[in-house]
Amino acid sequence: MNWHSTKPLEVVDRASVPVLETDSWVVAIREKLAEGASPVALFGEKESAGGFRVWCILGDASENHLFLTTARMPERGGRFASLARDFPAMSGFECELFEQTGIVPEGHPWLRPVRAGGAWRGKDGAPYAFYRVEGDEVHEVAVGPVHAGVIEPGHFRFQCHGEQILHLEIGLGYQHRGVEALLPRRNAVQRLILVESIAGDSVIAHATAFCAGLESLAGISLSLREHAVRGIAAELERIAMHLASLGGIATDIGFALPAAALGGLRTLVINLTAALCGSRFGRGWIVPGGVRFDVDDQWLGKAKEVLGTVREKFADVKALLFGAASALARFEDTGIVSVEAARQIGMVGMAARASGVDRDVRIDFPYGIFRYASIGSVMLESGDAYARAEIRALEISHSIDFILEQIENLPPAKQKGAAGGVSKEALVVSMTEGHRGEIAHVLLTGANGELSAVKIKDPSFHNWQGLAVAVRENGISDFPLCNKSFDLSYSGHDL
Amino acid sequence: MVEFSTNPVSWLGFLLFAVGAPLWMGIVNKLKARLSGRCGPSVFQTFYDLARLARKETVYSRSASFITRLAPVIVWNTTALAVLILPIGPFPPAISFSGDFILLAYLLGTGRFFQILAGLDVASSFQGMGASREARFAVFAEPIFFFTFGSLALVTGHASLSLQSIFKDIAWDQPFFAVFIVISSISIFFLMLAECSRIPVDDPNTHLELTMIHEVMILDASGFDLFLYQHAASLKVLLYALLVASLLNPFSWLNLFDGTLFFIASLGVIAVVLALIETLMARFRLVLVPQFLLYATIIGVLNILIFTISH
Repeated sequence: MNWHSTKPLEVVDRASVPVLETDSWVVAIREKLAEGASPVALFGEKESAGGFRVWCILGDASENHLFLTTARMPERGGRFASLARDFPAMSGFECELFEQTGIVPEGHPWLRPVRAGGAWRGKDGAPYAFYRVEGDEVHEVAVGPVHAGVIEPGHFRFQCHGEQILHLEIGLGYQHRGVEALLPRRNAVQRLILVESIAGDSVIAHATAFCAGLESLAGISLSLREHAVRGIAAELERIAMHLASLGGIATDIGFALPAAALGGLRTLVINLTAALCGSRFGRGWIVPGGVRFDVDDQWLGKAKEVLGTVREKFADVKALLFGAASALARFEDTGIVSVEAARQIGMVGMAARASGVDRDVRIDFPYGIFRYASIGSVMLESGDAYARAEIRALEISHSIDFILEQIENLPPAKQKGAAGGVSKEALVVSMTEGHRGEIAHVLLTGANGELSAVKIKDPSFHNWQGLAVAVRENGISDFPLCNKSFDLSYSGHDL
Repeated sequence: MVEFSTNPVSWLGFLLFAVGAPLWMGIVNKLKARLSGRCGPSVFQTFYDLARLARKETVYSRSASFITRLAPVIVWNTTALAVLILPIGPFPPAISFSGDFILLAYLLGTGRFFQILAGLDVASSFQGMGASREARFAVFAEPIFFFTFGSLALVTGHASLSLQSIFKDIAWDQPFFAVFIVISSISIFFLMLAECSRIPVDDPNTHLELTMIHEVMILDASGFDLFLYQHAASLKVLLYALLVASLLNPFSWLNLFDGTLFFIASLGVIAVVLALIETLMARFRLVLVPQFLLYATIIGVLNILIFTISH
């Protein structure tokens, strides 16, 4: 067998995962991808004997299965035949693998730094050469990494013909903090803080993914109530961040009233989170083994009241934002990502669902409370800025419904069972659906049962490529709108 | 015959205008904030900002030539000169002659020309884009002004903006004349949105360089230069607001006190309308801006046609 088949949160004995010859490893991945599997992670684990064990993890949403396979490659001169030309979704992963381990994906159409950003130097020390379109009437616009607004750093290099964008290259990495390398070397408390700061607006989603992975490894099972509270936390985060993104979209098209109103609504929601756990972004709420703050009747009453207000007011704002002809004229047909393009580049989350690709971890690989309670998932077809804005509005409603339903049917608190022993030489894949999409944490333990390596993937890692595709042929003055309609994380990508 | 007003009152009017322009902007900003449910900065915030800029050091890019130093002075002076041609409320204009509205248009045009040059001067890709947009939209904006004031000159038989001519002979008792004037003021209001970088043409509050028109051209300006640009911009907004208000000139049919009240009230109404538009409307996609300006031109053309036919 070329593959070890498993499920998210199932502890995998690392010895049982096949180690293939490089060539057959590539062939095996190629076959699986051709069958419609999507890449979840690709990374090199440094081995004590030298060299790398390169892990490839693919997901098959239709069967809720994950497939693992590995190949051994030497530290220097490791190479394999690139799959990026046939499967563009692999492109970013191969670049990342190259950057982290030096293993060369041969024949990669565009091997470039993923996180080196402006610091990248070629073999001869020359600065990184951005992709250029030649021509008398072509002009180049460079934006960032320092921006005029209070946003994260990232470099955008446009090739334009007049006002029209021909090509956009996105240079990231300015937020690289080395989270993956730091995690195994820190203690349990520090780890949680690190994980919470992977992306400051996806605290709950990342913390839940990480904690769920740890719990699997330690054999801890959560009570239904703890799962429900985590679900409430995750959906609160989704509501708040979708509101913030919609507010950003309104700001960027100069629509002052909904921008201000959405900012106000977001504050209501994040303050609700703060009322329970003390942090507006939910830091410290999720801990390994459950939740640090269980909900009480007082908070639940407040939550019902706040969510009712948000639902009522949001209906008005939504009518204003999606009812104004001037706003619709900006949204519609701006920054289209076709279904084929979205599939090819492996987009995830709400941006993929706006393009007609039905990918939602809560449904494809249900975890936590989503195994017991279903949440409405929406899909739109047009793939433009309108779809990406509309889908946020729809998801806000679904999340409010979900939380209210959970509040009504909240199971009683239970005494926790004892933790089992930590699995040694094991691996576990934990996936959650953040507000942007699929978050995957791969945790590996060594012989002593301690974390030996961690691989993290934020949905932004997939979707930045989507933005680059979306803006092609669009006016450069529409770029901020396209960018906000994706609202991707720089730090989540850069780790 | 060029008439220079010897009446010090004219110059008093100019001073009032120069001080009133940032205040009017402050009021618009405050209204905007209140309308979108925010508290907003004080109406005097524009003064604080200008005072801060005036005190600051001016920094020049290494690639900037003398144009960058010259442009802010020219932009401010041409705008100020243009103000001198306008009657400000009951104050007669300092300078007036037959055809002075053409001078007004091209004084503003000269300012724009130098602003565009300064935008190109520092060779930043942002500013180049902004300059190109400004130049392109100016082509569509100019006819609005001339159709409106040209037809007004045709109708009244005067070609001076002075209180005694164009605005004086507006006969409010004839209904079609009233309609003509109201529609003309709408044309000029549209022009104001375009010329002064307001929503839906431009967004004065945005921080997004890629979408800006006016703001992007002054990205490299700092200190006193930026003070001149910003003050000139506020002069220009109030100048257009004044043109709209002057079309409804109350001094020919009200006494001085009532006329002044009405005049100030009409400026207030324009501020409210501007704030309402900026709150309740998103910006146009950039490619639609010429269309918007052509609408305003066509309104002007139809207006004069309807007037001549019905008169």
